[in-house]
Amino acid sequence: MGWVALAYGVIWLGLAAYGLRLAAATRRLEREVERLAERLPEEEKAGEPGATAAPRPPRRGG
Amino acid sequence: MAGGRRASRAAEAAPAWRALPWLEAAAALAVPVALYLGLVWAPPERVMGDVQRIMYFHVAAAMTAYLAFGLVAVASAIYLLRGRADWNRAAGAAGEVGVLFTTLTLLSGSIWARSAWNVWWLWQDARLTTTLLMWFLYAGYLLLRGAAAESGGQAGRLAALYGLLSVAILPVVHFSVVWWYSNHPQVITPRGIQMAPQMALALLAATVALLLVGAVLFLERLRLEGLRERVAELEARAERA
Repeated sequence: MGWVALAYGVIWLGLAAYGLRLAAATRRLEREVERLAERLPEEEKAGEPGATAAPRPPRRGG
Repeated sequence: MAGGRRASRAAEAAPAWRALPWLEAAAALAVPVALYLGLVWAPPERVMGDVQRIMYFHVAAAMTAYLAFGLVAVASAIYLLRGRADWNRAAGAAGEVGVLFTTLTLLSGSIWARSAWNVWWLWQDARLTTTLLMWFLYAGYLLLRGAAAESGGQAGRLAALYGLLSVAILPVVHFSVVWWYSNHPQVITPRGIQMAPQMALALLAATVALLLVGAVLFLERLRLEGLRERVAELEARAERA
């Protein structure tokens, strides 16, 4: 059973290592997207996917 | 913060991502079932004994790799015809998942060979050598894609053409045991699956489990690529602003 345990260990550790690497890279990039989106000026943010047009404040003294 | 969440929500509303939680749940269910069937329920093989249990996930990993490389060819062909970047991303994600599963196939096969043949590797065996050739071919594809991403333009199309043409190795690997000398056991032949019904069911369960795991990894890898492009786009917009 030792060879079987070694083979199964290699397969599942390999898959787990790749999955964890993907998850870590995804979390890092999601944080990066949030950080960059925060830095965008308001009018750029309004153009973001899924954003609704923000109501403009009424002009004074028109 | 809100902009990032909005972007993330918009990306996750795309149809491909709706299947992801279902695929993850199906994989979480299929993997323990397949492990139980392969390690406990299926009987040991008469000659090799328990070592034969390596075969269930070894063959399943090879089939997942074949499918991933088939997907590289299809996505590359669509990208070359229509020029849509999302198909190019899909080809890259499938290529990486395919190389991962080929690596696992080679390693598990080598461990089986050590226990069954008393050697880690047999260069004269056509199945082993062509599978290694396939690994190098697609590792080269990933390197070419990396270089193409840096230079851009026509190099991306060249990488896609390489990905499309590389699919020719799949029938060579599969039929190598028929065409050339090979000690490799032939499980799936034109006459069907050559094993006891219980073993065939364990193999089927392992194949379904690894295909589901492969599909989850492929979609996660695709999402990562989408996020990378989103970061590049936001950086460009922040510089312009």
